[in-house]
Amino acid sequence: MSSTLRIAVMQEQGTAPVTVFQLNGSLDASTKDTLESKAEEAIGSGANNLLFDLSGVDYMGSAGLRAFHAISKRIAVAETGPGKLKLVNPSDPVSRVLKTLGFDAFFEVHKDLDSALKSF
Amino acid sequence: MPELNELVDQLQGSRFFRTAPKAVIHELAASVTRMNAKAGTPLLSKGDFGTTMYVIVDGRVRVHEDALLLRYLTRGDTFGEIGALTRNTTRTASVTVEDDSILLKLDREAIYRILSVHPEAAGPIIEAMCDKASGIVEDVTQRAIKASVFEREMEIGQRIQRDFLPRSPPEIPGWRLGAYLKAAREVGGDFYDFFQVGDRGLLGIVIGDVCDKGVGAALFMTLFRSLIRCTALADEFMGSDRGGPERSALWPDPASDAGAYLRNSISVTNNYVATTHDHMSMFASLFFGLLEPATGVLHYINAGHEAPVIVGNAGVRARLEPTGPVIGLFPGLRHEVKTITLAAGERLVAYTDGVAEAKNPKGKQFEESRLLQLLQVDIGHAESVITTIREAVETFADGCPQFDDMTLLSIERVSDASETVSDPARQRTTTTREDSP
Repeated sequence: MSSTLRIAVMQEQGTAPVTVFQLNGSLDASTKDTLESKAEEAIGSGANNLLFDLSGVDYMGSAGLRAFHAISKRIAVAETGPGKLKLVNPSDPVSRVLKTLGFDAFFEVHKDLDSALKSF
Repeated sequence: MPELNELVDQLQGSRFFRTAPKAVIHELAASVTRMNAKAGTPLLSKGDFGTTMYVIVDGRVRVHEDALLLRYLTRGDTFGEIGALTRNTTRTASVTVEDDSILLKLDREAIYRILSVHPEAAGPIIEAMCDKASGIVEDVTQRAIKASVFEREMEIGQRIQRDFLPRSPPEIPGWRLGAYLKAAREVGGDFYDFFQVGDRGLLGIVIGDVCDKGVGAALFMTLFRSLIRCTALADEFMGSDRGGPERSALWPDPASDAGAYLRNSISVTNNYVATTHDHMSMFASLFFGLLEPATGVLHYINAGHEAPVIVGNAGVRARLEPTGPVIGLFPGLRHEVKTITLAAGERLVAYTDGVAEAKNPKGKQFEESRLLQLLQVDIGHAESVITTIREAVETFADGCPQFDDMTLLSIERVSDASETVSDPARQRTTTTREDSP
């Protein structure tokens, strides 16, 4: 069983440069690796502040947290210096998962893109 | 256009045509089409009818079934012979160009036309087909041997993992305990535990769910379960070395400071996994409760686990929501400890997400709301709570294979304290671990 996750990457300027990943689809075991490679690609090209826009994610399983953990470990040793991983705009079903798993203990979760960008 | 002689050499260089008579090879060479195929080009699709066979002059193709790679074929190999030589057999596998390749295409019509003129070529072609078939049979045999070794290893793994679960819940006067675990595969990441702590009859209750599925989850399940049990019972283990029941100053006393005791276990487990195995990004959601059977007081930490439910005669009375995040990813977490008292007649029902996420053949989920609805009415004692939920999930799933493990615990404070579970037959029905076929 495989699902799809479309990922659009944009460069934004907050207080610091921020790479925004607009995710659409399911974030699960079958799409986790795609997300990690996209993030690795960006980090390899010098990005270290990563913001994941989850408004288009209709399902997120535990693989989502695994992916964000792996990416945050990678950012900590980014060639351009340690950066931050933040999340923005979780849809309702995703918010419930974030709440149960306790994501806010690990990552900042913002409600809108503007405040998320400014927070970097 | 390539020279005829070049095509003759290329055909003769293939394992399939190497013994064919020269005259036949010349006629075949006059009938082939040479093609350049770019990497990624699909050539054959499993299940389709086709009349063409291919000879690889240069490059490499992938034989596969969807995403599963079966083998690579390279220079001198042929494929598509079965479709080309038979009328009613569909393509037995899909073939896609892996590296840019040069191929010779040969059609059924040409092959049979040449065979009708040169019946002496039938022998070498039948021989070549038999050679190829025997290679495939050998390959299938080797794969079956490997699969059987693997199956045996999984059976051993399953048996060992079963030993990481309690054989039966302990017998506690005034309480009824039931547990059920069904793994979606041979091994899995769900677990539960019951253990008696200290000399005051305290009961440790654990239910956990390690992320991911299969072998990886199972390895981490044994780690999380052992770390929790080891830290929770460290004082008992050290006490037996000291030759007496006196407590160590290093470990919190569960009887006088349940909060510190629970936090200690959760912190050590979390910090150990998060610092030792951080590159694996594996975590567990876990509920760890410490019950005082005499009073019904339950101290607990819920580390990102589905909120267990306290149920009484009037239905759901409380949800034990997470008091902190899942464990195993980042060190230095802080979990709050909460306390609730189970009155006589009440029970704690805990479960993993495999229950709510059980799917039926239409892909619909069982949903937590359905589970809570079941608990709204009095469905009897520990064993019947588990049986009722299990049967409701099974009826809903309607034989649909499940992708997640499923665990249920029911811990009931019986209304009449003289009632306890001592009937061994009942014990068997309340502790079940089903393994997938």
